[in-house]
Amino acid sequence: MPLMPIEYKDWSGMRTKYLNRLASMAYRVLESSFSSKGILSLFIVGIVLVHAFPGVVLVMTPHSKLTKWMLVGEGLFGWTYLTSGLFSIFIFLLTAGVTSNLISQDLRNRSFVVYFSRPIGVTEYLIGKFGGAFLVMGAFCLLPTIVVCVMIIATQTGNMYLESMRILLLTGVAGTFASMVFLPFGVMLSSLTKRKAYAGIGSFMTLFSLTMIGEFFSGFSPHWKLVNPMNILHYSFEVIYGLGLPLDIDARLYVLSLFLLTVPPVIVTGWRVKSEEERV
Amino acid sequence: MKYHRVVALDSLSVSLPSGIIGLLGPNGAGKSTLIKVLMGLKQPEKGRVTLDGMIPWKHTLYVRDGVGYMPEHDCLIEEMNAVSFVSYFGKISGMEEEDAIWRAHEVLDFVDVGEERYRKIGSYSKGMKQRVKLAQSIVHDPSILMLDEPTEGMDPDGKEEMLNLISLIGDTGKTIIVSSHQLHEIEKTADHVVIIDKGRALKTGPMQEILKGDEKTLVIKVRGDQKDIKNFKAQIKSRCEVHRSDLRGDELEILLKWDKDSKELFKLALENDLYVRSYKPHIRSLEDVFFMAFRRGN
Repeated sequence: MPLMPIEYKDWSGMRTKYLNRLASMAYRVLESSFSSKGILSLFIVGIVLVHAFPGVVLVMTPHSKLTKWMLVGEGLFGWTYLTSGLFSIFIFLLTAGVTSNLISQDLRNRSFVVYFSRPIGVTEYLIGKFGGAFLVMGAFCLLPTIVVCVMIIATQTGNMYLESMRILLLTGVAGTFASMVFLPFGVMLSSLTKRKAYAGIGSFMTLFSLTMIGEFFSGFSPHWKLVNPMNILHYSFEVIYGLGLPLDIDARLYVLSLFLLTVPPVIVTGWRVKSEEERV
Repeated sequence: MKYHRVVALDSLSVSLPSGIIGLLGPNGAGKSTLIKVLMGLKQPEKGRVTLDGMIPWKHTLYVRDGVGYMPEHDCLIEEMNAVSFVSYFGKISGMEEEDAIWRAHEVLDFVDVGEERYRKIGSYSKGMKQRVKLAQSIVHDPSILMLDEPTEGMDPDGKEEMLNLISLIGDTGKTIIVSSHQLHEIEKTADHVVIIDKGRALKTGPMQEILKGDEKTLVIKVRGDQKDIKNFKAQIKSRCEVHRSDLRGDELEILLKWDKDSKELFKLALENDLYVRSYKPHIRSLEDVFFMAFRRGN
């Protein structure tokens, strides 16, 4: 006698709130990023080199309070923290790693249809994916900087805690900005190819090449400095901490550079996903 | 409903009851478009579509929470395993983490994906992938299920099992729309049929009614000499409507519409020295209905 097939059973659970569904998408991006050995190694090495060493130096340097100069200025032995090239390079690398598979995976597997057969539209899809990538980048750019700042405040000799807390708050803004600023570009490249490697390498190489080009031509005109994404990041930190832009940098061009780095990539990504939704 | 300049759905008017509904039609007939319209993935230029009283492209959240869709083409994320994949889409459909994992195992048990569920989907056979596609479409227990070519690429045993699974789901009172080219599969599984071509509904109705032939349509088989058979055929043709005649050696099979006394038919055979080998009312197959609908529709 053949085995009786298992009967179909109904599900009688309660549905979660709508935002939880997007959180599930974001969590999966986080989970799959950290299950990648490459990204995990990069993350650990980055934490040690970018945050742990400068953090220890800053904590051990005699200080009465947390100041913006400790974070964006030149420290002991010429060490810098948030404005170091190493920090930017690790942001480039992690952005490339995290975003490489974000949309290319769905293009490769034609899995958009499974998302869009759920109560998910293009906007929700992008929020979920960007949200996940932001969580990973936030774990590198935001969380450790906050930890370093808290350690500095905990070891300060003065009692101007309110002033230190203000800097801590600005550091939160700076960390959030650093976590987000290059994501649109990486996600855009991921939406243009089915190949994870093309998206990842393309993203890093483009950011790196722009850095080189900006650096090379800045000798001819300071405006070229704004082609360098690393400079855009550093100038933004300075603006966030209230230091203002360097005198040779045109504020309008800075805003334009920031706009070009973020808004058109989001539009292109939205258009790509929308066209995939229409093809479903 | 148009795709660029091609009319995909044209004045289509159908009412779909609960049970298993077979959606039939050739390639490009508009089957997939109809499914996408029902899911709110496409919005027609005019007309009205409601699912349980809701408009799919307006009440997207409610409609899609209550609908499961199994696409025709590959759509599985090959780098994930079946448990992660099914539970992930369960969560997107509004299930709690634990609930989604538990339910993923339940539906994977139902579709008979065993220990392989922990392997990456990329390593699965076509049949296994079809099962996982079915599992993701039922994980959130939708009341309406839309299956686009569910047996595509499966071996005969796999097809049989897939049809059994669909029947089992159908037994729970859900509405299941199965789009397929495989007429015999639909005939075996569906309770209701919708035949469409060029975006128009050619025939719709309950399977039993559709297959129920006209009582006056008969199949008669006679045997005898070629010459006598020829005469008999000519005489029959002059007296009634002949749908089909098939001569094989010394045997003739005729499908005809005979509204007179049957004795007359036997008498005619006797007069032509023919033996009546069989005489029965015609039972239609879905294939007959399908081709008849096409002849009329076109």
